[in-house]
Order: sequence, then C-alpha cells, then structure tokens
Amino acid sequence: MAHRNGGKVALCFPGQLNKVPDEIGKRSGGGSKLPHPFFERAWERADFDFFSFFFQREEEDQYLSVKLQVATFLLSMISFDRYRKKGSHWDVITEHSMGIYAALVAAEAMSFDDGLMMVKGIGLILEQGEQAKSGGMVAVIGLESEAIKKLCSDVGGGLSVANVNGSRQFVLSGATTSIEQGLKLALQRGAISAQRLTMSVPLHSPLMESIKGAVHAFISDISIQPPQTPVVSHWCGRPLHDPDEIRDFLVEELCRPVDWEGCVQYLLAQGVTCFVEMGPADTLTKLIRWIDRDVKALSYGVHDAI
Amino acid sequence: MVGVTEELIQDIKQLIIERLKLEEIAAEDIDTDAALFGEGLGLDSIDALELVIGLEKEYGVSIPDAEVGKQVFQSVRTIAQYVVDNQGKAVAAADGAP
Repeated sequence: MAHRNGGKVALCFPGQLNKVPDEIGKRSGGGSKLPHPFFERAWERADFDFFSFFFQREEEDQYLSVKLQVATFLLSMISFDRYRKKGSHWDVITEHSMGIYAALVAAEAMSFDDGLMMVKGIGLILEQGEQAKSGGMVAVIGLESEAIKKLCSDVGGGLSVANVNGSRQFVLSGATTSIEQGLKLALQRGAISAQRLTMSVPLHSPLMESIKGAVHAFISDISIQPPQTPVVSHWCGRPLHDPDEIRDFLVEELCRPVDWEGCVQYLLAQGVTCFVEMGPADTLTKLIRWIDRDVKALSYGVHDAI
Repeated sequence: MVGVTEELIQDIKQLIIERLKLEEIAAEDIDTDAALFGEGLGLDSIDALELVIGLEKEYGVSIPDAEVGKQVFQSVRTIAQYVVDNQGKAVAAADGAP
C-alpha cells in the first residue's frame, strides 16, 4: 500500500456545493465538444447540461438543489478521474453528506452511471417529499457545542444539529421558522457567521423520516458491490463493507447528523497524514485545518478539466 | 487615535498567511486595502473564525460578534486599525483603568 510521508492518504468527497459553480455559462453546452466525457454522460443519462445548468425536463429543472447535487457529483468525479490518471495514490476514501455517492463510485462500489442516477433520483425524492419547501439548513460558525445545544433547545423543538464539522462549526436543520429563529439567535449570541444554505429541505434531521420508504425503494434496484477501497462514512466511524449495509446507510444518513469531526479524528487515529479533497472547492480542507493544524490537507480541484 | 505602523501591517499579513496556511502566497502579494472576503483573497466564514482566534492569541483582541467581524475583516488595514484601537483594553479594564 502506497503511503505519502509514511502515512495514509485519504480522499475526501464533499457534500453539495452551496452555489452555482463559476464555470457555468462560460461555455456553450449541448452538442459542442465538452472538456470531459463525464459531462456527456450526464447529458445522455441524466438529461443534465452542466454548462447551461439545466435539466431537459422542466419539472426537474425547477429544483436548484438537485442541479447543485448533480453538478457537485460531476466535478468531484472529474477531480478524482484526473487524480487517478495522474497515477496518484490513496488508501482510504471518506465523504461528507451528499458526497457519499461520488465516494462509492470512486471506491468501485457503484458504476459512474448508477452513481449519477442515484444522485439525481434521491435529489428529486428529497425535493418532492412533503417536508420540501418547508425547511432548510443554516451554517453557524463560532459558537461551541454547548451553546449550539442551548440554541436548539431555546428555539423550542424542530431545530437540530445536522453537521458537526468542528468544535465551532455546525450546521442546523429544521422547519423554516425554526431556521430563521435559530439564525437570529446565533448572531445575537456571538456567532461569527450564520448563513442559510442553498438547501430547501432539513437534511440530516428526523424531519426526513417520511421519505425513507421512497429512498429505500428507489435504491433497491441499483447495483452495489463491496467497495474496493475502504469507505469511511461520515458518521459510523468505520468502513462500510457490504452492499446491504451501504443501502441502509444511504437511507439512514438522510435523517442523521454528519459527524465530520469524528470522521476526521477516526482517520487521523488510523494513520492518515494527508487528506485530498475531490472537487472544485476547499471547504473540507479548511475544516480539516481546524481539526488538526499539523496534518496535510489540500483540495485537488478541477483546474483545466473545465 | 493611534496610527497603524507599516510593521503592524506586515505582521497582520503574516498572521493571515500562517493562520490560513496560505502556502503559495507571500506577504507582498496581499494588498493592504483590498477586500479579504468574497473578492480579493476570497476568504470565507471558516477563515474568519481562524482569524478571530489568531487575533485573540497574537494581540489579545476579541471580535465579539459577526457585525464587528464584518467591519474589522474588510481589509488588512482595518484589521490593523482594530488591533491598535483595542489592544490592551481588556488588561486596562481588569486593572480598573479608565
């Protein structure tokens, strides 16, 4: 097994981008020559044109979050494809939130096409469920765990921790009124930042229980194999092994919080000394910098691929 | 109001580079008056928290909330001015000084 600096290398697949990538609109889409075959697959298989940022069917195109999820998947896979083709090494794969789909494809547990269809399919189920449009997520930076717990309790139910991204970096999920109240309270109590995320559902919260049946039915037909590289999920703190376990995780994780801090701590304890983020942004890289200032963390990016 | 020295400006730039681990950027690459967030260096709220901690550790000044943070983190110069205006305040208050 190849190691960098004597330690293990972990590839990190991020969750949904919070905004439309800068590259959108700079190149004509459709039939023109696309800079990576994955963009063509997205058009053929998922009716999604990355550079124009639209789904062919209007009823699908109305959901910004689904477009952002598919775009994130594509950019992460392109980053990974470039990393792999360069002959670079990795020992373990990890993921944050919706990054699980690209992580499973990278670990050869799913084909690219199935991963793409899973991202889009689950994204549509999320948007079309009864909880959609009535909730959301807010990122709170600067308050510590106890203050966050008190804030959720003071809002009076309906607001819960969706991501533990670090000792002072959290994401909260809840109904729209709870989110607005939580955001206001967080700023009053000294948060350095509190921002709504581009997500119209209260992901990673018990409010998502109602869609579990639909997600379970949707993924039951998708072929999943045992991962060829260990995939350490964002909350169980150990690798996912068999396909049934992965299916259960894909359903349950929508209703349970992401423990990114715990995941990184687990990987550090396993001897990971280098984290490489797969995708266009560097959010996970910055969160790792907070968790352990000494470990090497970088974003591989997409650079000239787009 | 005490003025901001060129030495302090350089120290703040160094603090930004070290705290944010901007390995490919040198102090002279950072424009003293350019925006730090969004445009310019393109910093975000995760970086802001790092800078809050860095300023506390290095200069003993605290950023109490997001509103103050927004004003202070406009540029290197505004950070330096905040340090000059607030350094020693906590100590002075503890000593019972006016």
